[in-house]
Amino acid sequence: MCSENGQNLIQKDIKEGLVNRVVVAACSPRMHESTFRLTCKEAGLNQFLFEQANIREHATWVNINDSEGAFEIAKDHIRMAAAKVSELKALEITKVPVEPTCLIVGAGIAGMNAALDVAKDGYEVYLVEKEPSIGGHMSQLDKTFPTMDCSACILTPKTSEVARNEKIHLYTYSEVESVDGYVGNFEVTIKQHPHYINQEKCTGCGSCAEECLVTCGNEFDLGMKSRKAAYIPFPQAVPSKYTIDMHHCIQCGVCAEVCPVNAINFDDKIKRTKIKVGSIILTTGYDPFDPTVITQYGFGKYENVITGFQMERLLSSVGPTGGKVKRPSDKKEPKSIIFVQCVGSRDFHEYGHKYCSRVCCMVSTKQARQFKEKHPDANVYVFYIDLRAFGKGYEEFYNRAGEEYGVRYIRGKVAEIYEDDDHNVIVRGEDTLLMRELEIKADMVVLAMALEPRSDIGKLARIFNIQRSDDGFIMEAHPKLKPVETLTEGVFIAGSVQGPKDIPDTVAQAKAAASSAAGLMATGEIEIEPYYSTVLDYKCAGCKSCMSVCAFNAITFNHFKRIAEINEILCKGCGTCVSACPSSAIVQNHFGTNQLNAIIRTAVPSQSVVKNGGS
Amino acid sequence: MFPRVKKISSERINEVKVEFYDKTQAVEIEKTKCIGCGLCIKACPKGVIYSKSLEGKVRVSIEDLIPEIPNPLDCSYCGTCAFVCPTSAIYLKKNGRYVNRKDIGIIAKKVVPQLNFDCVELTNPNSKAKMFIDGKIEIDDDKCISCMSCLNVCPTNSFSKADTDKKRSKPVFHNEKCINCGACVRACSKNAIKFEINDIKYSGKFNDHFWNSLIERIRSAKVV
Repeated sequence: MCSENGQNLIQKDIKEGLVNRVVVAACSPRMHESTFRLTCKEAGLNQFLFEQANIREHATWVNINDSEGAFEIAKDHIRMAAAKVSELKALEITKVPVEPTCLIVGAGIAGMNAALDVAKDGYEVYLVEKEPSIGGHMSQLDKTFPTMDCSACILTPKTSEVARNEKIHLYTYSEVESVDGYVGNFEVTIKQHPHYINQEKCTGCGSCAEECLVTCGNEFDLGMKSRKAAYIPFPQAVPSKYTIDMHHCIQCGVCAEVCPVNAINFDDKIKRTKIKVGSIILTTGYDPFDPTVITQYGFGKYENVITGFQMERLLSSVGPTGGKVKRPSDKKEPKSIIFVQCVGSRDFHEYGHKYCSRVCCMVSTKQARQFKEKHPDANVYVFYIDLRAFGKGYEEFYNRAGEEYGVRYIRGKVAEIYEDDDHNVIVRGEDTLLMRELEIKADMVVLAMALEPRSDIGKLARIFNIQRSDDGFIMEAHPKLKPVETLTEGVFIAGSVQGPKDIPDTVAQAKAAASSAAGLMATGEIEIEPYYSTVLDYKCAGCKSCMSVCAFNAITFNHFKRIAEINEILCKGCGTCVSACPSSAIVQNHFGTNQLNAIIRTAVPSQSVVKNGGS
Repeated sequence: MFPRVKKISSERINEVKVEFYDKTQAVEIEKTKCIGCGLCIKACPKGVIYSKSLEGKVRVSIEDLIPEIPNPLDCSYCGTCAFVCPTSAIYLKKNGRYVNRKDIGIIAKKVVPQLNFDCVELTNPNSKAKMFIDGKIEIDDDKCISCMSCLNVCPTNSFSKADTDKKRSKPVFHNEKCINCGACVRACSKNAIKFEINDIKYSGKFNDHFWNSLIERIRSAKVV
């Protein structure tokens, strides 16, 4: 029926006046309801006088071995749909204007790409970043696989482009505090943390950091290198403005004395800004897994056991060791390194994650190659469960690591890591290809840690009213057909907020999310399905029961009339309030009591269950 | 793994150390010199210095009052504690070497003024202390339970027993010996000793905000 011919058949019957209601018995409405509605609309019939009976999922698929039974169930479904459609009323679609602005949360590689694309389409962008600088995790990386591009070299043009773009309003050191409203008309409150240095005045000269008396660890280098209390996270940071870390600042005032532009302000306060946006893109990324919980690997206990992220900083020429990998215990260059894969990923223990983090195989391969480039005589081993080199050019990259660079891959999970008196690390594991146990001694161990959802992802999901999948990441609307949409209309996702991802996939998703957001705003107005519920003034007793059950904050209380009122646009038509109302004062469009009664009477002919009417 | 955080505790010292790849910072507290006055705890701009909880403890000795830094990563290594310590029992260390007092950032950059002090001989421990605080100590005899904690901790033997024959008796305070350090106030579990700071003697250049709030903390902070 969904083919051109089938649709023509329906349209012909409508036009000839043979039918004034349409039922299609087919697959899931999620797939084709919109198709047939459009068919009806084009033929001049109100699109809400259409009903789809889902006999694929509800009848055939669940009774795959019982075709007779499935047939009976299918007939029931069709009868019920016909009964419902007879009670349906014509409804009109509501249209609301769309604010031509976009909020992007998280200014990593995904957020920046999305921001540039949306800005290029001509819309204003508000880019919110939690850290004092944009760039995200990618700015911490040294090189990127498989092309071995220097990460900073391909990132910095983007960061400066974002900073220069007039359409992009940058809010660094900020968080989204609350979101109200609905698609096309979100009201967002942004909370800006105090920098204690006037960002307009600061020229980025660095005198404050030079003179600062405080020493603490730099988060950018994962605490491995020191910084002052007045700091920029890294030399290429954008915006190139200094921030004072009040957790460590002693307010000695030395920086204020040396600042040439008098930008230091110890009385700086949290600032809140309210903006209106039409669409939202979330690109908040991931957190690296903390391997301390896997006690048998000894991270945090043995000095020469480090994480892949720390290795990345050690390999970086602007990192704490100036690009020379030095092992922590004696600051000597190691002659042998063991990479341990799947630390926290593909792990069925309580502390681990069941999913594959997708990037770690390639990260370790890349790091092993980089180390071998500088130390051809070094012994480099990689313990892996399965080596997943799935992307374009990845397999070739991995093959070269083994064949040309002499990285030795051992298939097997590491059981235990311990150290000897000289802080050398001994890895005990199993080679599952040769079926033997083995122990290898090395100077250093690098744990390829998993990527996990941000620690505050629960808060993010609550603020934006979006769902999370089993693995804790944000759930997309459809894994195949709507990969960047969420179930909340107008809120899009891109990058590792949806699941672990490498840079190419992240950028691709960012661009998809940007064009989806721009497409939404391009129409200027947005159609809202008229499934909302309405409060009958004369019946409402003002008990507020409905308000406590509404998941969409769509119900407000009118203190003057002392009754509840439903915002038609915020209301998603879930019907919870309808069933909660003790005086049956709420009626719902399209799924009203009349329609449900008709369905029930058809399915169970002897009974009539619900008394009250509906629309 | 870096940053390497170390806490060393021996009979002589308490040391906390944070080691980065490029730098090492440490604070050393010489226990044998410490008189338990708690000035460092009051003066610390980040409030990271603590001493053990005295709750439920009646008889207090100096060991109970010795300060420590439980979380070395929160410390700013500014040296304010070393600056105020009347017995110079606290040292700042950088890259494994002791930092000269005059080279401590807040002193070298004149964030804090010069303290004017009299050098006083101590009896317990056997060393000297700088006396730069003028104050007044009063004992409330009604609250006192004769626990002898003040006698235990006083570095100058400013307290004596009223009745020397008894093992325990109400203390008698000798103002002329007192150096106004405040150790007895901290040791008194019944809050029977009142300590009022009248004056802190200093001169020279300083940063108003930093120094005033430091004095405010020393004057008002109730250190337990």
